[in-house]
Amino acid sequence: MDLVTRIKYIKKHVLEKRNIIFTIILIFIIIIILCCLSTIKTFLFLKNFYIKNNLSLRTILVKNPDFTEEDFEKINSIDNIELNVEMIFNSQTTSLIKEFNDGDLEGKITILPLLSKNDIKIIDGNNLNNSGEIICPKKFYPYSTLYNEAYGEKIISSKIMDGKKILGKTFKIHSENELNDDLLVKVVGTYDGISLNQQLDTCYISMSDFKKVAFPYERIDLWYDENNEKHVEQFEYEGRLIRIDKKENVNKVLTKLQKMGFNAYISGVVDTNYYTIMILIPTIVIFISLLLAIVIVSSIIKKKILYQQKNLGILKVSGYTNSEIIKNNLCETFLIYTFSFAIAFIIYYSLLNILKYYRFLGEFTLYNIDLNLNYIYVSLIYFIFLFLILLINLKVLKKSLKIDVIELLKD
Amino acid sequence: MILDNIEKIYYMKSNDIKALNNINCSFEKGKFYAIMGHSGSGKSTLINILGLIDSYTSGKYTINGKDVTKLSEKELANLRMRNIGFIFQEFYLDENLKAFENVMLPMLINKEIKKSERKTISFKLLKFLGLDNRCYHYPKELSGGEKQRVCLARALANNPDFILADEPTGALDEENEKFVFKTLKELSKQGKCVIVVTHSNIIKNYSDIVINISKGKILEK
Repeated sequence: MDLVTRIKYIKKHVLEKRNIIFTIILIFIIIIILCCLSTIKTFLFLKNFYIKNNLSLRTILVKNPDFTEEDFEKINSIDNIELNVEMIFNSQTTSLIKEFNDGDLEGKITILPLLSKNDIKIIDGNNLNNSGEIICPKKFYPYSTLYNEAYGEKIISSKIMDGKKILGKTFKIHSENELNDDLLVKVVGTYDGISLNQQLDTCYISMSDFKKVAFPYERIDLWYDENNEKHVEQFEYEGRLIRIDKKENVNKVLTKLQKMGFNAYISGVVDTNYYTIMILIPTIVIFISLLLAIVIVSSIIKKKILYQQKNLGILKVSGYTNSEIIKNNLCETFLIYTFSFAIAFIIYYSLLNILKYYRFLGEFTLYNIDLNLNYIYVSLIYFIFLFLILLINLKVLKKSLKIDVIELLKD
Repeated sequence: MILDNIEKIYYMKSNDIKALNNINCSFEKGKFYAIMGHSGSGKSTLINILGLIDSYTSGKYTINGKDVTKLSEKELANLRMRNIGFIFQEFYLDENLKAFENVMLPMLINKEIKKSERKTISFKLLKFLGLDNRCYHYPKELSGGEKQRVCLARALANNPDFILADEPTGALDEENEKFVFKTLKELSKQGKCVIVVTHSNIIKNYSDIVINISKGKILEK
């Protein structure tokens, strides 16, 4: 039987009630699996954001009021310390940049010191090599309205510029240090701010330049201690910022520092259990869905073939070989599955867009998180499922075809 | 079709049942055979074996000089498709296909019939059986007699040498019964071997040879 004839024959049977039920169930299962995979992908991405790529989890802050040279030497004697710098580099500064003014939007950037060249991934241009250089984000929004509710995401996204376009340009950074003049900087490169979870207005300058422009004095930082429900005063710049080589060594170093009598704590706090659970739940749902899918699909295919047994008998009486009947049946299942997958994908894609529209994940929706599954993964899911369904179909059908024709006809 | 010492035993838990016992007979082209017998006599088993839709326990069965036992599943299917047309009391029509599509079904796998000719042949056969105004009807829209005629047209689709019918008129009224037998007689006159299993005595008016079967044995011809 040629392909066109086969498809015409299948078309006549595809709208049977059981095939329609089969299609609806397949659509439902595929949507669940695609959504779960999207969730896993999103939370893996977030986990990387907050755990794997998060430098603050490898950063220990040592806050002692009277920090001596001896203390400095003591800290440096500990293994696994990558960086031991002044606490001033734990801060940031902001500067209004008139060169970026755009109508009502006021040009403004946040400035951070680049503690290590490896901290950022350069996309265009070069990393910092000399004083007077600055690295801006590839996706750059150098305005003061980033957190202004009056500016919707659409306005903000329309003003995001490509950092590459300002390569080579110069502008002045306001110095908060009264002893120094404003610093003239030249944009030498752009970095991937999204993978670092940096704000879109954050630029990096060298540590020496940062020290020139940052507020130089110890100042009292007032913060609210939620555990003791009171405000606590702290000297912001007192102490050292220590970077550990690997996340696994952080606790070891922290213990050593505390044993030495330092008031040390890890800079970043992330609830790793949250991400583990958020990845684990959809993974379990996927496995349950897969198991259920196999059981349900097997049951439906069994019933479908049982229902079609009379037709199988008619075909065999008419001289159809088993292989012809198998080809017809697998082709029918293939068409039903492909149609179901297409519909499921459209529904899944629409659901994602609805989620995006309602900013389900807040600020991440616009800038950072791409909920869509990679097309390669979608294709992979399509083929894995196709293989599974055809395999189940083939197994059930072969069992039916072993039955005598006369028994098949008895239905 | 030559049957040589054909035996069919159904192996049951309590006791085995011999449905056919040393059947020896042959069926020639151009003749109309009627197989008659009481219920459970083995006549349906016999015609199913002749139509290659049931297996036999022992013996030798030859069609057009080919020993059926030695044929593969594919060769058996090919033999069924080219040489045998089957008609059933229950019609066994595909409910999703229109009358002409049901008739076309065996032709879809016959490479000797051109794709463009299938529909024409199907319409011609339905016209020959008086169903030219029922070609586009689904089985559920047809009467019993009409369904049986569609079934007959399907059996003739690949122009087989042997037409086998198992109680073809069991569900039909007298008028339709006579039409079916008359048509089968006509076909045998055209050179086909027609074998009909029936309870109906009217068949004696049409058949050339009547085979009586009882308890799995041929009593007389």
